[in-house]
This record gives sequence, structure tokens and C-alpha cells, in this order.
Amino acid sequence: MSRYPIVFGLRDIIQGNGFLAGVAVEGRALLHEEEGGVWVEGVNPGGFVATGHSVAEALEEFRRSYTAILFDIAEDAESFESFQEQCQAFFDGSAETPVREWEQAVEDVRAGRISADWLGRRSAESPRGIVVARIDEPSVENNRVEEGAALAA
Amino acid sequence: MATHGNLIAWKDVKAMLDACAPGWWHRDKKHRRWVYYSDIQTPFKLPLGKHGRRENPEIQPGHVKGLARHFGIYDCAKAFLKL
Repeated sequence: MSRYPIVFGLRDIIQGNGFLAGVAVEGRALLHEEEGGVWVEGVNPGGFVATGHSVAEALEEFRRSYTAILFDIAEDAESFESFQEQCQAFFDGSAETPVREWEQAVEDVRAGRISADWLGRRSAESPRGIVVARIDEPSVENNRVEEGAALAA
Repeated sequence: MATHGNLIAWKDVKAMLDACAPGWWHRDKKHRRWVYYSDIQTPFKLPLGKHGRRENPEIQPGHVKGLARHFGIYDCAKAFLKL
């Protein structure tokens, strides 16, 4: 079994009850590669997993799962402010074990014990967070290509 | 334990949670089954299963491992399920 520390950047536009929101996340996850397949465990945001037969499949499913959870949050949010708060809680909801193992996996990458030439690299110290902005006046100025996933190093 | 291949039936996950996370509860939202335990702030979100299988979906072990790790009950969960 191998564990890889991942950092990723994702962008979504979410329709809420009476509002439109742009959600930009710079997060981290732990990718577990096992004999039976691959599973990607959210660290920030936490509280969900995606699985696949391959790394590509699991990462694609992670992306879909993350968006589906934003949809669930939007469905219950009575206001933009409520949606924003719940997204922050989603991002902050890490469990101790995945956090600890992610940090250890970063050390393993830096020590050369783990390598993944099938992923680009990005600093493990890259800024992390979730930004939820209300979209009242759409503008091309707000368009950003998302970073996707990289090995945290 | 009812499994299809290495998938885990939701009823078996429930039995595990009854033993390892007493007092747990869940709420089905449109896209995920949100599972809550104790005062842990963030619920764990499980897939609902294919259309028509929401009552007893079969779940990939990775999701159940993540659930057990999130709630800090992994050792207990392993005693119940093939994780």
C-alpha cells in the first residue's frame, strides 16, 4: 500500500436558493493506492472519500464527489451567508488521522521515500482555504483555470 | 456479512456503526448520505448507491475506511468488516 499527499485547486459555480456563488478551494487530500484499487481521502475539506480502479478514475470521482457535496450544502442553505458558513465548516472538518498521515506522507516525499512521476509537484506549504463569493455581477475577470491535483512536496 | 465482490452492504455498515459509534445517525440528502456521530462537527458523506438501491447500497471499502477514520473508530470497524 502506498500513500501520496495531494494538494489541489478546484473552482465551482453553485446555484443556491436565491443566490449564485463562486466557490474556490485550495485543499489537500491523501491518495491511498492499494491492491484492490485507489481511494482518495479528503483532508481539507474532509469527511468524504472517492474510489476508483486507477488514480485517474479516483481523482475524477473525487472532483465529482466534492461538487456533489457543495450541491447538498446549497440545497439546505436558506441564505448565501448560511451556504458560506457551511462551506467553511466543510473545509475545516478534518479528522486527526488523515491530517497526521498527510503530513507524514509529505515528509516521505521530501526524503525520497515516495515518488509519483504521474503527478506534478506543488509546495505542501501552498496557501490553503476556501473562498465563497456571491456572484451578483458576472464578469470574465473572475474566470480562473483550476489547478487540479499535484503531489505535495 | 453480505458483500458483492469486496463491496460492503449498507446494512453491515450500520451494524458496525451501532457497535462502534453508538448514537450515530444519518440524513439522506440529494447526493450523499450524511452520517453524524457524537459531537464530531463534520459529518461523513457516503455515496447513496445506484438508482433504486438507496435502501441498501453496496459501498466500496475505501468509503467505509474513510468513515471509520473520520470518526476515530477504525480499530473497532476492522473487527466487524473486512477493511
